[in-house]
Amino acid sequence: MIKHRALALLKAVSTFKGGISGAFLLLLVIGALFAPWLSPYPYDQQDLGIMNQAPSLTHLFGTDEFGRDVLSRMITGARTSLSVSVTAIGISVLLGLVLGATCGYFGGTFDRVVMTVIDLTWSFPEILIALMLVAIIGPGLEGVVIAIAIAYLAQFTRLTRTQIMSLKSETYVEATISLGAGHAHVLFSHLLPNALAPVLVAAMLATGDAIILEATLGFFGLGAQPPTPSWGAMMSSGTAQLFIAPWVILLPGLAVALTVVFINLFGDAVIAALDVRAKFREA
Amino acid sequence: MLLPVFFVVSLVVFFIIHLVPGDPIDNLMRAGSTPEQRLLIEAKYGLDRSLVEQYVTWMGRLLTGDLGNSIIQGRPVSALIARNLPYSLELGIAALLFSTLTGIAAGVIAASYQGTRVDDTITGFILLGSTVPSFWLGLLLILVFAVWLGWVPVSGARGWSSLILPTIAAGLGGIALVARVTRIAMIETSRQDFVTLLHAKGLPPFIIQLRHVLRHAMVPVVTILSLRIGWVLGGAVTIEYVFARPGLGSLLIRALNQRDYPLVQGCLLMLAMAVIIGALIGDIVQAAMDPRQREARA
Amino acid sequence: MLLDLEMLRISFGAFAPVDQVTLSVDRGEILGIVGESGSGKSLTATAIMGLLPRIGGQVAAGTIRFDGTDLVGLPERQMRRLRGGRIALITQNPMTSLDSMMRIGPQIDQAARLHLGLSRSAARARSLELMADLRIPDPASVYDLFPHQLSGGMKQRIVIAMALAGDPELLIADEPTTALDVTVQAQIVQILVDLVRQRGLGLILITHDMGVVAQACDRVAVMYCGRVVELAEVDALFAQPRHPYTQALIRCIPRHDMARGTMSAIPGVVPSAAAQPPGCRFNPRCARVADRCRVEIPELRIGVSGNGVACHVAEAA
Repeated sequence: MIKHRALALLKAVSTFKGGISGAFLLLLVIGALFAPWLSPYPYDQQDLGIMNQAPSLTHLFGTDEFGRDVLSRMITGARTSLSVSVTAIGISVLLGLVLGATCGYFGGTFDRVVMTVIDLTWSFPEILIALMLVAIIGPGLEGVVIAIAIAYLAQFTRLTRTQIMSLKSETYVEATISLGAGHAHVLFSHLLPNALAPVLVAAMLATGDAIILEATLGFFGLGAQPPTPSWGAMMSSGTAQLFIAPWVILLPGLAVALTVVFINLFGDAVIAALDVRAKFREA
Repeated sequence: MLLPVFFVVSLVVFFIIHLVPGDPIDNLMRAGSTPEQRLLIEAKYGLDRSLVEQYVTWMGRLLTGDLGNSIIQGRPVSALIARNLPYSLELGIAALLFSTLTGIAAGVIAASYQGTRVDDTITGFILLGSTVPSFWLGLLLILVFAVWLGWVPVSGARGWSSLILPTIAAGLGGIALVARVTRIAMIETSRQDFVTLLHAKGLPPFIIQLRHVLRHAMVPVVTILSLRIGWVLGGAVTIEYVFARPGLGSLLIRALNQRDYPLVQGCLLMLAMAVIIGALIGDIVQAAMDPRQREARA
Repeated sequence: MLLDLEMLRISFGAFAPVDQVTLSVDRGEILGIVGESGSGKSLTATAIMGLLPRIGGQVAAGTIRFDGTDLVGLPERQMRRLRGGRIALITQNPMTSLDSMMRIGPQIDQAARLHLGLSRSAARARSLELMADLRIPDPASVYDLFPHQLSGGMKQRIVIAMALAGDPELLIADEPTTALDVTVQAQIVQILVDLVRQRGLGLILITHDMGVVAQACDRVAVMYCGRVVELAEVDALFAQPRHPYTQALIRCIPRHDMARGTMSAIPGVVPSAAAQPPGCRFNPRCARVADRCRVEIPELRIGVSGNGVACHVAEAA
């Protein structure tokens, strides 16, 4: 199974769409990992003498209102934005797998109660849920991580539950259960491994949405607090800055959009290679 | 369905004040308040009583329309909301109409030319529409149309021309969603036997698409819209802030940043109510569309 | 001849699931096309209706001559005028063949308004008349119902009424009884037979049920893996089946005088379009297979009688 998935990943990368988007994402991750070494300037080095300068050879993406290098801040910002989104979705997937598997496998009252609450959060826009949670936890990166994790919980719980339920009714699983296999054995050796692929693909796509959500919260000033840069936080100076130095606002937004486009393209390629589209339709 | 949803939402909103780290009274006070003010607030919110008691009192006030007073502005939250609500409704409805109509049109065209370059182009725009942050699109629109071209006002809510850019920015995500669902639903409906038979009757394809296939495809579209009507609303929250428009969104963001908790509670409750009412309207529309459901209700 | 298919080849990309199909049907005649699922019966019908492009296929070779005009390559506008007008289709599953969101009546009216140019009220009158002809009780109230309010048999009558609304000369019924209860099946077949006898229509009746063939058809084309393996008059076919596949099909019909437990089935399965055997496509399942059958595809040779068989062994006999 593992080998099969590695093969599918290889197949995805070998397509044009998958190759291009995979390469971009790889570069981005490398950039984020080695941000301190790759940035031309320290991200927090202020120089009020060169405020709001347009892109030039010394500052490729220009400078912001404190004279900081925008490119350096974007590279470091990638680190914040990516780690926040990936951590948040990681937590969300883990919780969703546990909740969804429990609901799907055991059913009953627990399932009904959990699914009622899940369906409830499902009808609220992620941004509203996130705002509500940030209101509780308070602004800052931890708040954003938890808010995003809970905002996407509904999606993963539902997907896992549907997967588990359809797998559970398959003959080989019913046979295993009737042979007296324990719940844990059935869940961990038969159901979860097979349910994982679509959930992971969904998680990858959701990471894209999480990047947007992080950017939005950052833009509202509720995410990363100064001087830590994140793509969203960089744009929080908003319209005022837009008139003076639009590159400070436009470039981080472009980075968000491009990243999410490539995540989606790569996700499509993986879906095609794994051939899990049919499972998606069921859910 | 409606009542339990409202109950859960009200519980969550009620507990916001109590879940916030630190003393709720500190959170309710502005820095530099005197001890007398502290006692006043404590008495006002009944923070010395049990949580259940507090909730019941709060709920009772809520049902009479009393949402408390804004800490920062000192005015009743209900009055602030009442002043801002019309602007949010205006933008929300405009964005909903715009995204639904454009989304359906785009979905129908893409499905009718499935597999051609037209389809690829629209599908590409759908992808872009769901990946561009709406606030950023708003900023971009301001820069191009208001700053560079000077066609429309930069911000505010004066007259219909100030509504154009916010509507586009807030509606974008909705367009992508509606177009995607419409396209898939049209394509899947087209594969059904009855559509083959309509073609076998010799009906022109565009009549089949518009009069028959679209009608069926609208069922899942309405379902998605009713489930995610808050989508448009969520978009509007962000966009109001970008365009410095008055409205629940701007009010909420400002309240969040100023830690004005009664106002945060009020705004969240109103937005949640809007989502619930939207879902309800969606249910009714959906039932009216399907002859089987229509009969079951009659 | 009303309809003449010659050496028809249908392709989907590199695959040709239907090849070298030759058959014909005249006015007042019922031609049965029998075969297992995947034999290309329905694709042949789709090709005659000109609806292959909808499912991604095309006619790669051969002719489909309808009343003297070759339909292959006919402009879509002209094809549309024939479709539902002079040529009509009855589909397999009445449960899914009607628009569930539209009332019954207007669905029948459509073809008459489109092809006969009738007004709304004239089309309605005609639809009510057709419904009465098809023994649908209380047509006037059924006219205003939605499909889910009717039984399967009634729905199939409505589908037939829809097909007749454009006053067709050729009717193609693609497994019209498969989805129905056994008791209703015979009624529907009888309705179709009566239509042909009374109105002089040509009817192509696609089925996998040899019983229906015996009950209704004048002539039969037996298809296997996209080819016609035997073409014969119905009496000759049942009295003296020549192709081993036809013989096997007839053996599979359960009869009341059969001893218990002697139901026979054809061994093996229909090969998929991607895994066709070389030579005669039936050879892996054939009881009388010869060496030649494994290399050379037999051609359908039609004699002066109009009957023919595509089998090396049967020809040699």
